[in-house]
Amino acid sequence: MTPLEFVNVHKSFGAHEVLRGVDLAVAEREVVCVLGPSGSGKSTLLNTANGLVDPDQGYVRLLGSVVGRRYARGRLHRIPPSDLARQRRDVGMVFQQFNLFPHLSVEDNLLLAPRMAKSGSATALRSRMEALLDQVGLPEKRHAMPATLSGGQQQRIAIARALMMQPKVMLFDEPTSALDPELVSEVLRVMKQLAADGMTMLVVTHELGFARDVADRVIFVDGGVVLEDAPPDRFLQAPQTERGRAFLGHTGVSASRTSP
Amino acid sequence: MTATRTAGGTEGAEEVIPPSVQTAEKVRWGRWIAAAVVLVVLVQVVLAAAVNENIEWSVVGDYLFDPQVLHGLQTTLLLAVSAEVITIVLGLLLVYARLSSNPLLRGFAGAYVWFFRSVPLIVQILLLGNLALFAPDVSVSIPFTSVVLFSQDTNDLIPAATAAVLALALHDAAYNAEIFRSGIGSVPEGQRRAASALGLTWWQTQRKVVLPQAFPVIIPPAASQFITLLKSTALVSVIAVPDLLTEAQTISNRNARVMELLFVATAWFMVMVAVASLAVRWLERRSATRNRRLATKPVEVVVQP
Ligand SMILES: Nc1ncnc2c1ncn2[C@@H]1O[C@H](COP(=O)(O)OP(=O)(O)O)[C@@H](O)[C@H]1O
Ligand SMILES: [Mg+2]
Repeated sequence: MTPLEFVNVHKSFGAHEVLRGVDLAVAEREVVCVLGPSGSGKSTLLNTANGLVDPDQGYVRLLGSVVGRRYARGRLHRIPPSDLARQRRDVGMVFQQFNLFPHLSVEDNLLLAPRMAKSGSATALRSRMEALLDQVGLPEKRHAMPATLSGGQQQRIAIARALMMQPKVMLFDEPTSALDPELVSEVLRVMKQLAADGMTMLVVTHELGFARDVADRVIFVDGGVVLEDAPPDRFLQAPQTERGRAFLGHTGVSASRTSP
Repeated sequence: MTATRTAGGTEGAEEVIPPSVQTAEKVRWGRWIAAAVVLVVLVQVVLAAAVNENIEWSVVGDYLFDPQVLHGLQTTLLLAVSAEVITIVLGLLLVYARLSSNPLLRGFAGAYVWFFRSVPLIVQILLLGNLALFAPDVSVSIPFTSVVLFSQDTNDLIPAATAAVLALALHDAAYNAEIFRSGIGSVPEGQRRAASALGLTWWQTQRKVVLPQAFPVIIPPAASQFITLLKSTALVSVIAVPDLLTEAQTISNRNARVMELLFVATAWFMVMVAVASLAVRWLERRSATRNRRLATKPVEVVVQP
């Protein structure tokens, strides 16, 4: 079963048509990077995968079921919000601005969602949390408040928080764009490890080095459609479209920017 | 250029200033004059009150703890507290109606806030207190039939005290809704998105993410709004609710000690507001420490030896 599949996804904000029929399938254990200029609809696309954005036309299939919809009698019907909330637990999301809950400690940030969802006993959650804090390399920050952490640390905690729900698919929306350059690598390292462990990942990024080293495929989005869909080396070295070439030229062509 | 500067520099001899020199304190004449004026006025006022033979201070003392006055005080507190409880619930309902995606709810909440903020509170109290003039009895019937399910005399159903609480709460809720709205609006959208993405329901998001962050923003204005409410309770004397002011006036109607009993009421209001202000200060300090703990990087603490 394909874990994540976008089928003919359209979305407009007012008169502005942001997504104009996106088709994309992400296979199990696959890492797909989404590249594209700012404002091309990358975030909007990612947000349709967990129902934060409701497509006008088309649908997204997550682990077999349509996101936010139920298919019956030849039509899609909206599902109740509580069912959508349940669906969202299967997909983790990491935001550009981290969005940790500032009034909660690191520990409570991690435990909030699984507690609300009653996913596992207190001891099971505790050991899951400890394992994840180890995985992102911040076991000593368990009792820290988010504001006392650096951007890189906050983003690593945000990744751990998303993983607490044991999602089958992870979405990353420019996870390193808000970071100081010297903090980028620690976040990419965690993501790289996650990919190596077999997580299915859809990653919007401007880190071409990460795309080249980690992605199985690169999607180039512009004007609300997928213009290119290719292995990273082929896209980075020989983009097939004029816009793709322009984009890479703009970003500095070379995939030579190193990732850790 | 350089030449002129050098010339200018060497022209006047520099006076010798000792390294230990201090800056002279400026004498603040304005401050002293203002203080003197205030003091003179104050002494005049106090003397005028103290030696005025029309005011008998012992009467104020006598009535301060008079059972009837204390009963009025109790009524006032009860009015303020019950109105505050209702106004919090109502204010929250209004703000969520105002923020909802349902245009009907939004419109209703907007109209509510507009109406209750534009009609003077005393008019609202009179309207609710005199509802019986407009609708002698309240009945619930099935529309388009003559079947009456429930019918009761308005004055029995809504006694003056209830009308007073309702009027205070309905009015105050309009203000509280705006206070809550700015508090809830201060929580960044990213917080809601993160909570949704984690699979929290709307209600869980409000309870665990939005409201705890809105709370510190809401407390100071909500508290000062409560103090306003506390003082507004005095207006209910116009519909004969036996509050502090009404009781004080009932007594002065008997013994003609108008000013003395007004002083009694004033004293109690000052006490109530002082206590409420202290409570607010405590709440603010508590939420400020909480915020410091969570919103900033660790402060370097310099320990003086
Ligand atoms: N909630 C929204 N309401 C209105 N316009 C939006 C909204 N979200 C995104 N847009 C618009 O859609 C376009 C694509 O946005 P986005 O998906 O964030 O692009 P990207 O992530 O590729 O930079 C932008 O022009 C943006 O202004
Ligand atoms: Mg974006």
